[in-house]
Parts: sequence; structure tokens; C-alpha cells
Amino acid sequence: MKNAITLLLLFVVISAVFLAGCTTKTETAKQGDITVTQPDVSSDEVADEALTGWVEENEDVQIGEII
Amino acid sequence: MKKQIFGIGLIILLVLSLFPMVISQEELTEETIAQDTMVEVFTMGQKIGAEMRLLQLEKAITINILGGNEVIAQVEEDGKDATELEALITEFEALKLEIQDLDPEDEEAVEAFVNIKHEAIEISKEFREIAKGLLEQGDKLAIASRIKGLNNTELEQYNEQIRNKIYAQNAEIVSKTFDVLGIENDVLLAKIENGEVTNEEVRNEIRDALQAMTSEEKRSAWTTLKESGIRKVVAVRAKIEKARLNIFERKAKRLDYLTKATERIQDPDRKARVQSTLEKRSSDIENRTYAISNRLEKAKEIGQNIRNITKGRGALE
Repeated sequence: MKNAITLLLLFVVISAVFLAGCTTKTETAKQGDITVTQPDVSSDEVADEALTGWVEENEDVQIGEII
Repeated sequence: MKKQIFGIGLIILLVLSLFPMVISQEELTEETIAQDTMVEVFTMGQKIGAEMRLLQLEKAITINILGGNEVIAQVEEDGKDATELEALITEFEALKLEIQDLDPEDEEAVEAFVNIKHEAIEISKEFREIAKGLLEQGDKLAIASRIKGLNNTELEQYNEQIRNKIYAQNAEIVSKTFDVLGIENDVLLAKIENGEVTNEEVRNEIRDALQAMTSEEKRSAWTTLKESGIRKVVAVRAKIEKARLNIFERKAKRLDYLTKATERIQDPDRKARVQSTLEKRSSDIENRTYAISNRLEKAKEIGQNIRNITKGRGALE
């Protein structure tokens, strides 16, 4: 009986891990209507959008090392 | 016996539960690679941004050429054959020539950037694999530290040029943003152009200006900026996709640059060795390109047949 309960609990935990793995997906932007609406925006959100494309001085293009 | 079955069942469940995690990690890695390129290409819409990215790519290739030459010297010192590595360095040189020939304002610059970067990553990978088999563990550490300490005038020049382009690019972005937000601050723009302001300082300036705006004005500005950003992302994705489709076509075009790069090799013995290795590699590329163009022709033929059948059916109906 004790073993059965342990097995059941483990099954629940493992199923949760399984589902988490299945749902880990990265959303991709798709071409379509570009209509953006937002009920209320903060100054930080506007600043984030305003500085999209800002390049930091130490940013580099990476192609991998040869050794 | 029961305990053994319980244990085996547990192991099977654990292994099965790990599969989707592994798969999702792989998906994530692929996405991350594409994301890097997307971020880089995002700035190539403006001339200055395109110049900056092409210079950064050229610099990255130059670092690998300089490091690669250190590896070759060590391999030769150990009395081993470095011909394949020499050929790969010549391929790097060909990529550099190709970048130098590009017009940053050309529509094809983004496509070329994506393809050349992809090719440079492949060559670096191949070089690493071959070098691994030729170098001793001690050699690797010594070369790695020599590469890290590389103090080269050419690299210094790249750094200087790239830094200036980054400042100019940032000033252009902020200037456009200021137009949308109705901010006038030429002093700040001049400081950005001289690299005297950080991202956080500009952010604070924008935040201050936003204090004076109503919620409606803020929302409108955010929407304009967001929509313009999304348009850029969509355009960038389309260009990356196009670059992927034309990858073999570009490889075939690259043969001219390879010939030019080989001609530049001073030592006649090295030149002959590299030429012979590259000829073999080039014929592989040609064969692959030929096979792909054949497949494309076949696909066109099938498409035409399907259209003919559909037309015929339409006529019958």
C-alpha cells in the first residue's frame, strides 16, 4: 500500500516535469496585421521600445573560436 | 522482486520524463542562435548599422585568421602537416574579401551578412576539429593564451572604427525616437555620438520627458515605436529566411573570392598545397550546388505538371 502511494506521488511529480518540458516553447513573431494596442503603458515600457536597437560598446559578432 | 519491478518502473518513468526537456532545450538552442543573428541584423536597416555589423564580422574573422596562423606555426613546429588548416585560413581570407566588396546600403547586404557569418562559423568549427587532432594539450593552452594576448594594429583599427559606428548608430536611433516623442535635446545627441552617455542615462532622459505626457500621449508614442519595431522584426526574419534559401548559390559565387585569396599567398609551396586542397573542397561545393540546382529544376518541372493538370481539369469542368 505504502509503495503504491509513493509510486503514485512520483508519477504525479514526473508527469508535472513532463508537461513542463512539453510546454517550454519559444513564441515566434509572425507576419500579419501590425496593430498594437495597450490599455496603459508605463514610462519604462516606452523607454524600452525607444531604445530598441541600441548597441553596447562591447557587443561583438560571434563566430566561435578556432581552438 | 516487487522492489525490483518498482525500481525499474521508476527508472523508465524518469527517462521518459526527461525526453521532452531535452527536446525543448535543443529547440531553445536553435532559437537562441537565430536570435543572436536577428539582433545583429536588426540594426542593418540603416547604412551606419550595416557598416558596423559588417566591420564586426570582418573583425571576428580577422581574429580567427590571426589565431589560426598561430596554430599553423605550432603544428609545423611539431613537424605535422598543416595544409588543411592553411586552406581553411584561405577560406577565411576569401570571406573577408567578400565582405570588403559588399555595399552596406545594398538590399543584399543583410543576406550576405547572414550567409558569411554562417560560413565563418562552419569554417571555425572545422578548423577547431582538425586542430584538435594535431595539437598536444600543452600546445593548446599556450596558443590559447597567445591568442588572448594578441595585440595587433589591424585589430586596433577595427575596434576604433566599430566604436565610432556604434556611437553614430545609437545617436541615429535616439534621434528618431526623440522625433516620435517630441523631445529636442541636441546636446544629448552630440554626447551619444561621442560615446559619452550610457544607455541608462538616455533612458532616464526619456523617462523625464515622459513625465510631462498624458497617458494617452504615452500610449500613442509606445504604439508608434512598437509597431515600427515589429515591422523591422518581420522584415529581418524575411531577409534571414531568404539568406537560408540562397546559401548554396552564395557558396558557388564565393569560389571567385577563394581564387583571389589563394593568389595572395606569397610562399609558392604553400600556395600550391593550398590550391590543391581547395580544389578538392571546391569540387565538393560544386557537386552539392549541382545536385541542389537539379532538385530545384525537378521541383519546377513537377510544379509545371501540376499546373497543367489543374488547368486541364478546369477546362473539362
